[in-house]
Formats: sequence, structure tokens, C-alpha cells
Amino acid sequence: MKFSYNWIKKYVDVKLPPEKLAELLTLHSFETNILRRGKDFLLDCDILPNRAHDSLSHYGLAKEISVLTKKPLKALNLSFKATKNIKTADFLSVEIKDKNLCPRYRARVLDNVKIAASPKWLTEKLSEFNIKPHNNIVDILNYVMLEIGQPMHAFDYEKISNKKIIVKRAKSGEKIDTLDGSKYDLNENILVIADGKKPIAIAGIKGGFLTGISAKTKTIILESANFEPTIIRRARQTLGLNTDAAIRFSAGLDSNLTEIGLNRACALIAEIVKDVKIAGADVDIYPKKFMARTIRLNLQYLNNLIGANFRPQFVKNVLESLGAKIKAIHKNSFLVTAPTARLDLEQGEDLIEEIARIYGYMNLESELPLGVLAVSKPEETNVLANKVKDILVSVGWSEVYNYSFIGEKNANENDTKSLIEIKNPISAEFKYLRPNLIYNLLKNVKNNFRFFGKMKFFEVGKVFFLKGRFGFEKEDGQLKPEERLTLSGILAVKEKKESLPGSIFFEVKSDLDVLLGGLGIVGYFYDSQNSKGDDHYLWHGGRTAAIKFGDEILGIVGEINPAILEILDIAGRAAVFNLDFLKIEKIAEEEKEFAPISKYPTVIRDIALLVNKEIRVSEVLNVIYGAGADLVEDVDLFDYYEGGNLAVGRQDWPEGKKNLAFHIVYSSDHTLTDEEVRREEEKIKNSLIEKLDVEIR
Amino acid sequence: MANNKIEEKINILKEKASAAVNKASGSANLQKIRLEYLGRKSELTGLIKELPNLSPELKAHAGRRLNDLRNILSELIGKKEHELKDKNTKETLKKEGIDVTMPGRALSLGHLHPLTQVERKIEDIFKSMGFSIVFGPEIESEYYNFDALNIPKDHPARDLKDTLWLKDFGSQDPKKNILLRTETSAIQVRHMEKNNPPFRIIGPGRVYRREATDASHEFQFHQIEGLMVGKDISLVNLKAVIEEFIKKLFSKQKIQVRIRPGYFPFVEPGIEVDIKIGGSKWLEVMGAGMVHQNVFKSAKYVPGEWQGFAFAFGLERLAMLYYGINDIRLFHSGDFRFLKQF
Repeated sequence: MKFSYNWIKKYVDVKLPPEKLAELLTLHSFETNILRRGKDFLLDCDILPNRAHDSLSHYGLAKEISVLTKKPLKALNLSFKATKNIKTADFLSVEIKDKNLCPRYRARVLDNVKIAASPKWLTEKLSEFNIKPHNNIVDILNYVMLEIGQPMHAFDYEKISNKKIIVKRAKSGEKIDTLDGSKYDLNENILVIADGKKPIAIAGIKGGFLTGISAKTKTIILESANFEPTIIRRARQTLGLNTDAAIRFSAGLDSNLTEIGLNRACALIAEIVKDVKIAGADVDIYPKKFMARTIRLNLQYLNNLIGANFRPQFVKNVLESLGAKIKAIHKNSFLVTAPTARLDLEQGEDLIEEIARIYGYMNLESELPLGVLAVSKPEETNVLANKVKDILVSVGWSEVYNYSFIGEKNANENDTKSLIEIKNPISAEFKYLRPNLIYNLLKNVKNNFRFFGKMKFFEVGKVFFLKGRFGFEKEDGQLKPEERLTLSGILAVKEKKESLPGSIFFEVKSDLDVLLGGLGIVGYFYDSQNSKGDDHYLWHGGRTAAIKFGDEILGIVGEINPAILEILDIAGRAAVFNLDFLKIEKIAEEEKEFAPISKYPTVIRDIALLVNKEIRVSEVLNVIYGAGADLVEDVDLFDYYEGGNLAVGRQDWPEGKKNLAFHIVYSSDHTLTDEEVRREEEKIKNSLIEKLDVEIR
Repeated sequence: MANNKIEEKINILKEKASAAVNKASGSANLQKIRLEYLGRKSELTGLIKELPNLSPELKAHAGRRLNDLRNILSELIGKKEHELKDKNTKETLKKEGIDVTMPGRALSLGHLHPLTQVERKIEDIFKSMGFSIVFGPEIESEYYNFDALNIPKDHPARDLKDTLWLKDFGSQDPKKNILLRTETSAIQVRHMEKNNPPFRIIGPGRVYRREATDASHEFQFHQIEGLMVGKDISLVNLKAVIEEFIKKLFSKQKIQVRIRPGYFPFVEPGIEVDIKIGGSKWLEVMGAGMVHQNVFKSAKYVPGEWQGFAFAFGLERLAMLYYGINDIRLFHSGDFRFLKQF
């Protein structure tokens, strides 16, 4: 809220220039900025939510400033000449249907009112706060709201049916025409002020048109009430009516402010409306009394929690300056009765905060925590994630952070059954939680193809799906939302023509080998048997492999189906890997055992095979390892040659065959003889001929 | 007569051999010359064989002369050999010369996301102060996100952060009502339920709010939560930890820290932390305070037995200040023109 510096000065004798005052408020109460406004300054204060009930008014802020500057707060003029023989109760009756929704309702009748334009000082003041002047009565009520924070309303008494005021929930289907010429549909969750027949105001938010003040009005009822904040806040949201009154009632106000508001309004009206007759007594229905809270404050706890050494006298002075009453019951203990104007003071810590902030947080001496020096425990997932990121960056991959959502367009009908939908999404583009990291990586590729021809992106992040998708047990027959840490990467090139078939696939695969090797994972293998995930349509059927460790599938590496790229309007090729982070973590954690380095030299022999084209390298490797040659330590493919274009001009190249050449490493616990190696080679060759019908070259 | 004759032969041989060595065109040629003048069938060897036929005084003289000649020729050939090798090496190197100004292999390091880089710096600072790292789920129950943090159903704080809810997972029971966490503070009670004080932790993670985006607002961003609980953890401890953290993070800049009152339902007293970098304005970077006893109650701690502090700050905001980034949306843009700068 914005406050007038000159107005504040009417209540407290501030000697500080505006900038200094703003700094004082910022450090002890509310962040404040200064704006110049003609001869005045505006203090733009960010009133904290727990102080909105007592600080959204000039007098309220002046009270705060008086505490901080230790200057006395001037009293408001609340007195006026009342007409003893007019009693409000003779004019109307007030009924509150639900005391929880309206703890207090005060009303006072003013007779012989002459509705006219307000004096200049008043209209000018309201204009400063962007409030349109209406007439002398309404303007005074608005002024009082800015001054002390109590919103009030004036009804034209003549127009109130049956001379009755009832505070109750509206009925569904009821409507009201409001003062500003609008019409609102009401329901049970909206509190209204009704007369004998109909709603005449939306409680705490806006008055009704029919009972509003007009030029002809002679007798008015001033309402100064207290409403329960939640029902006002809800109504304000439902109706989209954020009036100044609604904002204040939403914060919850002190019931005792109703009296101050009413008296202050009457005092000001008496000044500007000649011959007005103000009732000698008002109607005060107060079904839910608010009792001042008494809180026990332990001074030792105060000093322990803040880490300071506040003297009892200082504590007492601060609390008394806030309007609290203190009773010392013990050297270290105060009984503090908080003023009702401070609804936020409920327990010891609330009082402790008041003492610390008024003393000033910047005036406290900082002190690093003592005690046993704690040793930071490493978080395994975090350690591994950092390692993964470092390895990938070292082989040229760049990290992205994508949104955790995908749009309707992304969602293939194949995954909608396992997708988690957002009830109130930001937009259709962010309707579902992402079931994988790949959709958004593809989006990254598309956007970056405008500037780059090749890219390697990865992300470590959560993916989301309904548990049950993978055949897990369902909980109470319900699918359960699940999140899982995942690592995915995409390598994309604009150039569709390949120098070698599957070159990007193999680049991803070799980088994966660097990654998994760097994490100390050995013994994983690539299985051309496609894993049957829900997202199988994403993958290029002929260029996809499952990454396996034993029977466990760690992830997938493969090219994206060109048809999918076409649908997504991505002109190029893309290969992707996808790893289940938690499985990787589990395997990487398993203890590595050191194998002693052999003292005896290894023997390397090469073997070249002519095999049918369809036979995969992994099959050949399986046969070599399974041939019963126990001395084989390692097998590496070092040459690969397939007929095709490369064979043009070579008539002798046999149709449908390819050439594979392997280094085979033999080792033993003694120096190997030629004869031993030859016997092993024999086993391998025989096995290959028998099982794969190869030709040894 | 014989005397003059052998003298003359030696002189001629010396001239001839020296000339041949000097003219040698390569290593192979030089080897031939060595064989020709110093080998078993060489003229020199021939002359040595003639020595016995000479008179004794002449024999001694001619013997010395021949010996000298052999040494001189050996040395000459050796020298020439070095010379030729050097020349050869130089030529090879010259032939192998390359254009060193050509670019290297087109390989390069990838780029770590700026948020990861700043998060690591932050984690390192807190680890050095003994804080451990913990994580919590992004799909969270209404209970841990609000109720357990002293934010009751009708509290205005639930209006402030408009929450993203999961469809089909609504429930009257806040423990079963599922949402995307609006703040990492949801970690607090989860951690306290499983751990007894004393402890000091930070909890980094992604949070979600249903709000409009612009250069300084995102509906998805990252926070780092801090929580330290013990017997006598105080507000001046909190102040010291925050000041230490900010001074270490912005160690290369002139930085000031300002602490002022703030309000969050799960702390009391509550504070906000502003920083001023060089001559900038004060910028709000962090909310913090002393853990509210109601939060300890949620964690089933014995009332009044523990005290501690909590803080939380936005990772993006600090990264923006750290690198001078002007638009928060860049972090999730996946734009390589942005990413490759880090």
C-alpha cells in the first residue's frame, strides 16, 4: 500500500526525511520505497501478510513508526455531539445468522443528513489514492478506511424493507445490483447483508444499488462490522471483486476497530454535514467476543532463540510500546497480554520476533553455529549424477534443462493410458507430465537446427508415469503416480546422407561405452532384441538395441524412427539413448574387485571369417566365448567388410556375405606355448563352422 | 728411391681419399668410400703390406705415416657421416612440415548447464559448512507441501502460490491429495520424520507454480532449501551462515547483505535476505527464519526440545545475478546459443 508521508506526520512527529524513514521501516517492519508526489512523498510499503490486519492504514503505519522512532502517537478525534433521544435500536433490528461469519455488527442511525459534494480537502485526499469522490457521506467513509483501516458502508434507511438487517449466506440464484452499476450472481458461499426481503450488500465487499445513498437521502445507517476473512476472500475470488474493503476484510480485522471506525466517521461527518442528528446509541451485536490473548514469554528462550542478550527492561519497553500489558511472574518469565489490534501475536515466538525486529536484525552480532563439527554426508545419487554429467561433457555432450511437461500434441495415443494429467495446466502445451525426456530433447533439436548442423544434448531429470504401467501391483485398485530419475541424450545431424550406415548410432554407442566404462560398469551388452516399451513407435526398428546387464534392461540406444522425425518436422537424423538412472546407480555401486595383473605375456591371434550378412557380431562373439576355449581373455572386432557398393569391381566377392576380423587375446597363469594357443584356436574355428556356417579365411 | 716412392704414394692417397670423402653424396656412398680406402683390400692396406720390404729406418717412419693417415681418414669419414645424417634429418623434418595454423580435430567439450554449475558451487559452500544434501519428490502430497508446514486450509499463503494439481488424484485427505510441490520446503517434515536432530541439510530441487511467465517469472524453477536443527541453534547462527554463503558465492564481487523482517507461516521469526552487488539496487534473494514449533509438531518432535532455522532461495535468481543473465526463461529454452556460453 502507498502512504502519504505528510498524512503520517499528522499522527506522529517524524523528524526523519522520507528516505531515512523508508530505510527504518525496511529494516524493522516492511520493505519501503519512496515516490515523490508534488509537495508530498509516497511511502510504498510492502505490508507483510500477517500484518495486513493492522497496517493497511495511515494510523496503523503511524503506530508502527511511533514504536520505531519512540515518538508519541497522537490521539484521533473520536468525539461528536450526539442526539440523545435518537436511538438506533428504535429504527432497526440487526440479526446475525452465523456468528462465525460475522463476529460483530455495529450500526448507527444519522438523521437529517444533507447529501452534498465533499469539501475540497476531502476530495483531494481521496484523489491522491485514486478513489473517486461521490458525496460527503461516502467520501468520509472512504477517508476513514484509509485513515484507520476499518471499511464501512452507508445505507439509505428509507429503502430498507421491514427495517431489518440480517447478515447471512446468500441463496443460490439470488442476484444483486451493486453501486457501480454491475450485477452479480450470488450463492451460499457468499455472505450478504439482507433486509426483510433481499440482499442489500455483498458483505465486506460492495454495497447494493437500491439501498445506496442518493441526493434525496435523509436518514442513513452507518455499518461498521467485522467479517470472517475466509468467506470474504473466497467471495472476492469468485466474484472477481477486489475492492479496498474486500482486501482489508480478507486479512481479518480487530473487532474493536468497528467502534473506532464508527466514532471517527461520526466525528468527521459532524464537522462537514451541518445539522446532522447522530443517534445517541448504536446497535452493537457482538456474538463472538474476541478475548485479548495472554502469552507467557520465557526470557531465556528469547535469548537462546535469537542468540542475543536482551535485558528484561528492554523487552518490557518494546512490548509496552506495542500496546501490550506485562506482568512479571518470575525473573525469567513475563505474562504478556497482547493488544487486540495485533491479531498476529499468538505465542511466545511471535513476541520474540517483535523484540528482535524492533531491536533490528542488522544490529545482531552474527555467529557461526558451534557444536560438533558435522561432516557432510555424500548423497550417492547426486555424486553419480555429477560424474555422469562430467563424463558426457568431456565427450562433447551439452546439458539441457527442459520443462517437466509435454503437450497434447506430443502425447501419442500409445502413452495416454500411462500419462499423468495436470488438473489445471498452464496451457495445452503443458498438459501432461513428461513420460520420458526424449520428446523435449527432440524439441530442442528442432529449435537448434535453425542455427546448428549437429548437436549432442543430454538431460538428467525426473520422468513421470502411472505405476501399474510396468505390471507393478496397483494400490487399492488405483494407479499410483510415480516419478523416476532418468538420463537421456540425443545426437542429431541435419545431413541425412550417411558416410557409413548407422554412423550416428555408433557415435552414441561409443560415447555410452565411455560413460558406462567411466562409471566402472562392465559386463553390460547391447541386445538387438528390441525392448517392448510403450514408446516403441519412436524407435528405428533396424537400428535400436537394448542395453542390458544380465537380465536387467538398463536402457535403450537407437535411432529415432524417420517417420516420427518427419511428423515432428525435423529434417535430419537423430540417435537417442535412454538410461534408467537408478539401475545404473545400483550397478555402479556394486563393489569392484581387483584382479591381479598376469605376470605372463598374453598372446594375440587374429581370425578372419566370411559369414552370412544376417549374422550379427554379437552372435559371433557369443559363439567364440562359448566355444570352450578357456584361455580366451578378450575378443575385439577390428575389421568389417560387407559387399555392397564397396564390392563393385570385385567379382570374387561372394553374394550375401560379409567379412569380419577379430583380435583374440589369450592368457594363462603360465607362459603360453604355440601348441596351447593352436588348440584353443581350433576349438573356436570348429565351433564357428559348426554353429554359424562360417568360412575361415 | 724407395723412400721417395712410398712418401709420394702416401701423399697421393691422402689427397685422393680426402677428396672422395668430401664429395660423398650420401650414407651409402660414404660406406663404399670407407671400404675403398680403409677396407682390407684398400690401397692403404696394400701399402701397409709393403712395409716389411723397406729398410728399418724407413719402415718406422712410413709405418707412423700410414697409421696417421688411417686415423685421419677415419675421423674424416666419421665427421662426414654426422654431417650427412644431420642433413638427412633436416630434410625429413622439412618434408614432414605441416601447416600448424590449420584447425585441430573438430572435437570439443560439451557444456554443463549454468544451473548445474551454480548449484555445484552452492553445494560446495554448504558442504564446507557441514551440510549434507537430501532430495525430495516433485510429486508431493498436499500434506507435506502445506499442512505440515503450518499452512492450514484457508491460509492466504495457499492463495499466494497457485498450485498445479494432478488430475484424478484429488482427495479430501491431504496426505492423498497430490500436487506438484510449490516449494522445496516440502522436504523439511519428510526429513525430520526420518532423522533426529542435530542435523544440517540442504535440499535442492525443482518446484512448480501456476503463474504467468515473463523475463523474471517461470512456472517451473529450482530452489535450494536449508534446514539446521539442534539444541540451541539461533537466529544469529542463521545470519552468519547466510552471510558466509553469500560472501563465498560472490567472492569476486563487492557484496553487501541485508536482513529484514519477512513472513512465512513455517518460520517465526521470519526474515528476508537482500543483497547488493557493487552499486546495484537491493535485490531480494532469500526467505528464512526460525523453524515454527508447529512444524516440529508435524514431525512429532517433543515440543520445545529443539530449535533451528530454515531458508530457501531460487537457484535461477542467483544464477542470473552470478552470470548477469537477464531472462529467466533462457534456462529452460534448450537454446544452444545460450548453453554454449557456459
